[in-house]
Amino acid sequence: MCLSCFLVGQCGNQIGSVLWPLILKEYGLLQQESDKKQPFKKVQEDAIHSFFYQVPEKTISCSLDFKKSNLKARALLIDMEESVVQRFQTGPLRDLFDNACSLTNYPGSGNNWAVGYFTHGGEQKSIIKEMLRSAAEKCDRLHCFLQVFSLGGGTGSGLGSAILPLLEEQFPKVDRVAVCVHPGVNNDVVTSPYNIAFSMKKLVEYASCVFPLDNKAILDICDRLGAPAELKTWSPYKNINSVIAKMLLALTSGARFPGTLNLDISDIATNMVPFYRLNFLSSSLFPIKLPKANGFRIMNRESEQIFRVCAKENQLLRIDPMKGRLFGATLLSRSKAPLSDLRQNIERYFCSILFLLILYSALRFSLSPHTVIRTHGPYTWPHCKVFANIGSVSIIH
Amino acid sequence: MGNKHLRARSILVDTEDKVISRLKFLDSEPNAWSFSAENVVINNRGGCGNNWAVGYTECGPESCVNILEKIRKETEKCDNIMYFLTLGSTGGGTGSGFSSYIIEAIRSEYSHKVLMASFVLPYSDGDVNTQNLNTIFTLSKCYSVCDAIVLFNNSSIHKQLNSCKKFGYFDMNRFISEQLSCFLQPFSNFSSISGVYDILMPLISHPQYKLLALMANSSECHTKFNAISKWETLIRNLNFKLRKLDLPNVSRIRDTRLSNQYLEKCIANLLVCRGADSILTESVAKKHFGSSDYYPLWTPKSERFSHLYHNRKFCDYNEYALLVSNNRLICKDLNNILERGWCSYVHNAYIHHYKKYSFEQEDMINAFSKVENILKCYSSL
Repeated sequence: MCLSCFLVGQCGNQIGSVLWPLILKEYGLLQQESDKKQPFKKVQEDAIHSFFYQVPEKTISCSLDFKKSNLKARALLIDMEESVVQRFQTGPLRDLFDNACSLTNYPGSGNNWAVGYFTHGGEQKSIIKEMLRSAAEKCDRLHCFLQVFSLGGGTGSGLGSAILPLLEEQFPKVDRVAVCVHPGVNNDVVTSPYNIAFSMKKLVEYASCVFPLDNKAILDICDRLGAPAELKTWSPYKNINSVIAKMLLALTSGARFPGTLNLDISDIATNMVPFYRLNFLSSSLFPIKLPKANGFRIMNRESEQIFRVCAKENQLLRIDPMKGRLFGATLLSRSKAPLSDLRQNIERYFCSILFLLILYSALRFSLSPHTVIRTHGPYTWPHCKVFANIGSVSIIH
Repeated sequence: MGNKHLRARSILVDTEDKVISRLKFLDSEPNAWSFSAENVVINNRGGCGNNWAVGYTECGPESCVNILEKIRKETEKCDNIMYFLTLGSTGGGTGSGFSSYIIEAIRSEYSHKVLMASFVLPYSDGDVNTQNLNTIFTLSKCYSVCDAIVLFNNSSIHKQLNSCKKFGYFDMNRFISEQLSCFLQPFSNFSSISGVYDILMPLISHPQYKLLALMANSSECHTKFNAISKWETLIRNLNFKLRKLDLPNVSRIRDTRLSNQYLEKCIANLLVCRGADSILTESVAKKHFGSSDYYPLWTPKSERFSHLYHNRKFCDYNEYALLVSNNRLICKDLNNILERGWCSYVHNAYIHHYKKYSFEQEDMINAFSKVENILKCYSSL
């Protein structure tokens, strides 16, 4: 199963620069010198083709020498400026990305959606089409397109929403998942309301499901978890990006690794989108561990985690799912807890909360209120149980 | 087969390889069994996305020829095929959609063989949001072509296992497989060339009623205190399961004659006892299930209840009693599914996923009316 990952615009590429090391780490490929070399597990080996490809095939070794093992990421790096993409090509992961898979241009979009959508979208159309084709040809079965971009700027929102119709035209049956970051209340670009509004229209029409993420909400989570002691290592955007990257990993884990119940992205897209155009899903994550943060590590009981994951403060959007109207919720759990425990806890917490919501819901659905899915990830984070709760909420503030 | 290596007569079909790749295919030990690696068909598209229409309209036509070819090869290895048995769930996309297409294909290819489908119904309080629609479409397609449909319910299995300990899907699967294999393995008071058909025939005597429910009751080996009337307790407990569930304190009513008004109507019952002394259980079984209050008048008396046994110990159980029943209890599940299915249909929820794969509104209405019909038949018993 292959996932093709698009990183569009500056924000998308910056998330990508955090995401790829995490992916490598999850597959056990990125190991520090000091770590004891761990053997490559079978689960990881089977799953590696979801985010990577090899031409020609070779045995994969646990090292950073991607040139030797011919390992390439299934990523398309698209930006209308050079600076961020350049960092990929000169950084330690430079051999991971194919040069043919990155697209840069000059000048940028100047925070203008129209420049991104019409000017760049028009000019680069044939090049992007060609990139898409060559990326798709390397997949033995293409599961979904994962597109990461921000809505505030020009390139991400404009060009990102220009690519979506292109994807639908070329691959009508492959799911298109858009993960888009919007600035929230910390509006730093004056044109961002326009940019968000214009790209929302395209997202509603062309994406299978959209995961909007609020910068401010994630920043609040990071603040709560505690900034590192030294100010010079404090980098809010890095923390935000790592939270987003973890959410992406949790979201795709079902498609990549085997579990007791397999949940793919297409399952999420079917279950969480009851009506055409109501495809904005909110997400939450618990527990989150920030890199280099010296907070306490609190181990929670399973039952509490399920409760906490739908709490307001762990949402990646500034909404309260307890007060909204839910069409459905998906719970992705990466732990070894037996089914009976998990179900019991869900019945205890979810039902009491969700049934209440459904009674208030205008449509009075008696659709099944929740979806329970467990996936076992690889155990590279042995202490970290990641729960991602993805609920579709009809009203987004 | 010189080294007595056993191969399962089974064909494994899926739309992704994650589950099948973890099964065992080759075992070098003698006398071990394994699945045959040639009998795997994976239409590798990364799952059906819990969408019945993907399985039925896309995967089915694509891999049907391949699967039928595998079935042909497998049937050529048999000297006498008794029946085809399919296993699947109705909640997701592959088990429901893909298998309904395959079941139809098998029926058109082998029109005179017994075709038995067994489906696991999803949790009634929700596994996936499209489960009710998927179940309705599957039942509507399979009901007309299958000879018998064995239904299991995740919720009731969960309830039954809940008393023991922590459990996962493995235990639930084991629970189902034990019941099925108890039903389908040979018996000592029954031998016939046509095999399973003669057992099934009384159970599915009417073409409108072909949903079978299995109920098991067992005593495990490690209980030391074997009461003499063990069998009787097991059978009596099974009998209680046939009572109407919504009435209070039914299980306290001991006298069968008094409680006859609470009985659920059955087309036919079959009791299978496996374990030591099971030969002696016939009279007890007759006492509990022989009463004509259970059965509608039009069923012939000789066909109403049959009792089969085998003296060999079954799995790890000293005594294992299984009731195969074609009865009204299924109405509750069907009604539940239909109600929720209608609810999402009238609100137009999730319908666009099916329309995308050219399963149109008209087909859906057809499917709904077929399942409504099944429900009507059963509730009018």
